[in-house]
Amino acid sequence: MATAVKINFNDVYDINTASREMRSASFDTELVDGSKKKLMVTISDQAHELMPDVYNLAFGPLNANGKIDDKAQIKHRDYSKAFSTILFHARSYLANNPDHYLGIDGSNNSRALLYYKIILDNFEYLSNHFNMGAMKYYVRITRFGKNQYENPFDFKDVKSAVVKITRDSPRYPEFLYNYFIFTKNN
Amino acid sequence: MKNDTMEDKVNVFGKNQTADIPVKPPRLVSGKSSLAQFIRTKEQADELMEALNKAFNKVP
Repeated sequence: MATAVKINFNDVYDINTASREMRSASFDTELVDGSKKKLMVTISDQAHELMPDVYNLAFGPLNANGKIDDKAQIKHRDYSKAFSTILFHARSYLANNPDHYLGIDGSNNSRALLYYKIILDNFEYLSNHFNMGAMKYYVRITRFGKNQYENPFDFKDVKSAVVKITRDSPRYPEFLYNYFIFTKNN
Repeated sequence: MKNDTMEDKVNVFGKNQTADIPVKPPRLVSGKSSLAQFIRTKEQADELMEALNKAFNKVP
């Protein structure tokens, strides 16, 4: 993806909202080869059992099992329009659910970095619609003597830190967040 | 005494050679919110919600 993403809620794809609660929606994004691909945007049915106002937003094409494939590699013809559509739906959902937090997971480091860059590049625009936060996970690494396991990350032992994203948030790529949280801007 | 190769030392998953060796650490599962996977206790959730409310200036 070479061009910068510019979020514009006046230039979005037509969204089909499958449920009245707006938890499931879809739109057809145009690919570079001119074909179209259906993308789903879903908001979790239930909040986290221990955090009653926190919901997860996921997006992507459906895989063979009917689940969203959040690791799919898609070559959008217009990345700005695709991401604008996803965030437009998030804004609409939060307008109806002003007490909710919507979280977006970076499914891998490059995705997480991309989302953070999109937020910062469009901060002035997005901050008119959302309060935006970011979360960083610190995960314990287990080791055996001097050697490290193939999978050393112990996700049962995680420390998290939350910050509000501002126009002055750091831009260098080493500053990686894992999870992004949106609320309605009052 | 046999000298362990690097492979012997690193590739210890599931072998449980001694009681001190931890079992294979869990991974996050794709397709499921990472938050849902690692926030497991009320204390963790309360701590996170406090941080969220503080970041967003919300009064709980």
